[in-house]
Formats: sequence, C-alpha cells, structure tokens
Amino acid sequence: MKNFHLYLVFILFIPFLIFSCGNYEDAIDPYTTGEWKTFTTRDGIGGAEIWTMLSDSKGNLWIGTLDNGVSQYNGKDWIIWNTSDGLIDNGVLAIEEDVNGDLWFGTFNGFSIFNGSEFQNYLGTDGNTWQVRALKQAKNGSMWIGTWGYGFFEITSDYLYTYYNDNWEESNYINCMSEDNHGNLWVGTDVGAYKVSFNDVDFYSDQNGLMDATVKAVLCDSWGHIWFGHDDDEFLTRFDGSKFFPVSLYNGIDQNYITSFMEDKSGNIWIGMISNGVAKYDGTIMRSFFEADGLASNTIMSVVQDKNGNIWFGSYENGITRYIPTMND
Amino acid sequence: MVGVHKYSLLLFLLLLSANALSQTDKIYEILTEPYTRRPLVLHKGQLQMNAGYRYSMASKEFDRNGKRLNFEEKGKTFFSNDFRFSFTYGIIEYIQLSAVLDYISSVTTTPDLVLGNAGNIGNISVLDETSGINDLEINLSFRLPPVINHFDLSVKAGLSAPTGKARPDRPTHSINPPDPLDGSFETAYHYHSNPGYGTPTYFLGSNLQYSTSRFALLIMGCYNTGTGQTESIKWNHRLNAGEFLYSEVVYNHLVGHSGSISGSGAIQIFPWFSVYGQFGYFISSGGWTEITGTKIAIPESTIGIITAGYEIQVSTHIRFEQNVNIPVSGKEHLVDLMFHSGFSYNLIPLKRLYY
Repeated sequence: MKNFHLYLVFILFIPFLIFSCGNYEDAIDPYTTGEWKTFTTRDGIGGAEIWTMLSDSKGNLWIGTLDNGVSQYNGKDWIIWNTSDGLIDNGVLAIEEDVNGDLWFGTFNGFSIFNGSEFQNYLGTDGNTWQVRALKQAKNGSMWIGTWGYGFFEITSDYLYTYYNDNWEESNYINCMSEDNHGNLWVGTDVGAYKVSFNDVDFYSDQNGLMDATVKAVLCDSWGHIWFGHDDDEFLTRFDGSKFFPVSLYNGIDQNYITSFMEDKSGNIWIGMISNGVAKYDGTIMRSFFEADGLASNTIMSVVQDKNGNIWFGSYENGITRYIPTMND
Repeated sequence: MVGVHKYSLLLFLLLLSANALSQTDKIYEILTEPYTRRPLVLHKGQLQMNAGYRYSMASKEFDRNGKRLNFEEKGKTFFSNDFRFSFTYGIIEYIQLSAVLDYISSVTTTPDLVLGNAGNIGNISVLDETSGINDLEINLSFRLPPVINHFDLSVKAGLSAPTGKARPDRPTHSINPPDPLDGSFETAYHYHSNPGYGTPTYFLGSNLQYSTSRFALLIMGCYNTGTGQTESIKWNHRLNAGEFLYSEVVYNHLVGHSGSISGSGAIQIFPWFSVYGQFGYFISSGGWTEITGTKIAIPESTIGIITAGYEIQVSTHIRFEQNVNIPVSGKEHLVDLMFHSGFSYNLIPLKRLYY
C-alpha cells in the first residue's frame, strides 16, 4: 500500500510540473504587439500642434508643440512645461538630450536648457534671436544648433563655433542635423546639405547627387548610410558613402513632403510625411501606413522609438500614436 | 564402475545441453519481448539502436483561440524531414542510459504580394530553411522494482546538450531586377536557420504502465526547462546597388518550459504484431525574445495529438514500427501531420544474462 502511494505521487507530480508552465516575467504580452493607440489633448498632451518629439534616456517621451511648449510623458502621467514654467517660448521646434541628461529645447525665439526643474534661456548671439530648428548632441560632447537664417553653431565646453556661409544666404536656413558613424555632421537646408568633418566642410546639392535640393530631414543610419528627405519629390536620396541613390517611396505619389526619419531597433527606416502618412523601409521595400491603419492623421511630423521599443508618431494636429512592433516587424 | 561413469557423463552432457538450450530460449524471449510485456527499461546488458524517419507537413495552424487557419489562403507551406538515431543501453536491470540525436531538414515558404502604384508591383516571397543536427539528448531512466502485479513505473532525467548550431547562417536574398525603381520586381528572402536551443535544457519524466499478456496501458509525463537566457543572432539586410548587404545583430532570448502528458493503449494481436493508440497533450510557455529590441513574451503554445501505430517483430533482433500523428486541437501551433517509420535493432550479450 505504501508503495502504491509512492506510485501515485509520481503520477500526480508530472501534471503539476506541466501545468506550472507559464509566467511572462516582465516581457510584453505578445498579443498587445501590432496595436496602434492614439493620445490627444484629452489624454494630457499640452498642445494640439505637434512639431517634434524625443525619447530620452530616462524613458520619458517629450513632445514639442507650436502652441503650448512641451509635454512630458513618463508612461503614466503627462506634465506640461511652457513659458509659465520658464520655457523661453511656447513654439518648440527641436528637442535634444545632452551628455549630462539635460534637455535642450529649440524654439522660435532662442533655446532653453532644462535640468529637470529649471530652465536656462538663450536668445542667440550678436543681438540676434535665433529660431532654432535643429539640435544634435555629437558623440564628442559638442552640441550642434541649427538656426533659421543664422547658420549653425557648435558649442563645446569652451567655445562656440559659427558656421555661416557669407556667399550663399539661402544655405544658412537649417532644417535638420544628424551625425554619422565617423563623427561627421550632416546638415540639411533648403538648397542642399552640408557635411562637416573634423577639418573640412563639403556641400551637396541636386547637382552632385541629391534627388532634390531641399533637405527637410536627414538620418545617418547604423549601416553608415545617409538618408535625405525632400519636398515635393517622388524619391528619397540615400548615400552609401561613395554614391547617391534614389529610393522610391513606392506609394504612387509624385509629391512627397518628408518631415522626419527614424531607424528602429530592428533596422527599419521610418519616414514621416505631410499628408502621406508614414513609410517603413525594411531594407528592400517600402510599405506605407495611413490613418486607416491606426495613425492619428496622415500628416506625421516626427517619429521616435522609446526605451521599451514602442514607436511613436507625432501628427500635426491630431495627437500622437503609439505602435508596438511585432516579432515580424 | 566404468558403466556408472559412462552414464554419469551422459547425464552430465544431457543436462549441459538442456541448460544451453534453455538459455537460448531466454535470450530469444528477451529480444522478442512482445510490446505489451516489455519492461519500461532495457534489460541488463541489452543494447538497442534505433533509426527512424519522420515526415511532417502542415497546411494549417492553430491561432491563439484554437481556430484552424488555412495556409492556402496565404500561400504558406511547411514540410519537414527528421532523421532520428538513438542508442539505449541497459546498465543494470533497472537502469538504462539513452542518447538521442536528430538530423532535421525543414522548409517554410510564405509568399507575400505587396502592391505599389500601378506598374510598380513588388512580389516578395520568404523561404526559411532549417537543416542540421539538433541538440544531443542524454537521459537516464530508473525503473522502480515491481511490487504491484502488472504495474511498472519508471522515472527519467536528462539533459539536452547544445550540439545544434542554433544560430542562423547568413541569408541569401535575391531580387530581380537588381535595382527596381519603376516596373515590377520580385524579391526572395532566403533564410538559413539551424536546429538547437543554443543552451542546455533539462527534463524530468515519468512513465506508469499497466500490462497483461495481451494489452497494456501507459501514462507518460515529461517536463522540460531551459537554464536561463542566452544569446542568438538575427540578420538585418539592406539592398544596395543591386546587392544585399547583411549585418549581424545579437539579441537575448529565454527558452521557456514545456511539458507533456499522454496516455496510450496497446494490444498484442500476435506475438510478433501489436497495435497502439495514444493521445498526448503538449504545452510550452514562459519564454521570451528581444529580437525586436524589446522583450516580448513567446505566446503559450499547446497541441493535442492522436497517434496510431503498429510494431512488427521482423526478426529476432529487429523490430519495425510505423505511426501517424494527427493534431486535433491546439493554440499557436502548426497543425502538422506526421508520419514516422523506424527500425530497432537489439543486442544482448549471451554470457551476462541476468537470470
């Protein structure tokens, strides 16, 4: 009888082990991937006109608006920072995080540096008030500032370097910036793109490779390729280090207005556009996503990916959309 | 006196030959043990070599709700060839040691048509090939001394050593024309996966059998678990000037737990022929992957399978077995129909007979 009980224990033990399977630990539920969710002012975003976004190293999402400063989202709560809190201007055009973890906000009238509680404000130099449209923290510690009409600047711990083209006024209107794998800075303007290396500055236009002279967005990806987004064009331009290539958006539209690029953790390139939603380039082909797929609107001003892998799309007037990538993305 | 010695010698020779003959009978009986009367582990000194082939194909899969989704609608196909080799040795009468190794070759194809604007259509297909040696499984089985008539109980413990390559090889994608901007193009993504977990896994199992001379009932259970998170790689690709560039990206993943429980019944129709049927339930969960850069849980997967098969004692040493496995229920699993054929060759040394 005793031995029979021993047999029974063994029989019952195995199902117990089997049905103790389970437990996702802290992993995302796979059935929530592939979902689109939109957040608007009703959820807590401070302003309706979204222009730019940033996901910082602490896991916060920062949304720059044209009408009410920046909104900070930590996954649960929304906090609004505007001129009443000390921000220099409520029209925020660019956001960047520096090596110290402070946030830089480029606005229509100067820029602010935010340490989490206080703003330090700067209008510009030589009595000029900068409209700051681009900010880039370089790997060497410099912060780059792109202005509208005053060229671009490099701020180090000791110096402020000015990059201004006296011979070509139009090239001093800066739209965007990005740093490549070699430490070169690429600067987009309405008449072409600068490449700033340690000891040289080169300029590229539609005469020597770009599909169009207007460079509204620029991205240096993990492959070492440089992406240029244009206005009113069927193609993007991709530079592989030696040659420029046209890249079709494959959306059947001749006029595309590119606003932003983002490379996600899977190596896909996301392209935000005005009126044409977003396109995702997987290395071979483009696939487009629109409002019908889940975007807040078809005008996407900014695309970022946060620490948790969520991809955020900032639309101009309809809020932001969060997309959780699937394992097949 | 001489006559007495002569008859003693004759009697001795008769007894000796009778003894030898009876030993041969016992060896024969051990080698040809009917299916229903076989103990759960091999006899002492018995060596068994198995070679099997399993063919699987799937045209459906179970979704998260257990509904069958037809591959044909997506144009997806799956088939697999699995060659299994195993050696089992009876160390002592109640303990056996087993080593099992598979060679797997499987293919999954998925066509996907992407529409651009008129005149610019991309046709993309995905071919995922897996081939190579799987992880080596080694296990020790202990048979409890039978104390209840007709009942036999064993437990086994083992590990799966990561002999499989696990990490995928570089893909070999292709595109035609090489650099399409206008017009249609065809792209084939060709992935080369390898079998294996990339990390040791451990398992524990138990079998309980009730048998008579003509039929047997068996309940089996097994639990398998990984040893912690491990690294793997994925390949990102980029089309550049008509050629694909590839970059290797490392990511972490965790092999989860799995378990199975099954019940079978066998009938010995003839001493050399038996048939059996089995129902098994398999579940796996608890794993995750960071292949997208974010930790995503692997969906829990279950499958219920009905098996029907037979075994023939072909000769003294050789058995032949065939069965078919039919999935009848499940979640997040292929509905893969499997056909198995296998030979078992048994050796037992003459001199170390246990009785």
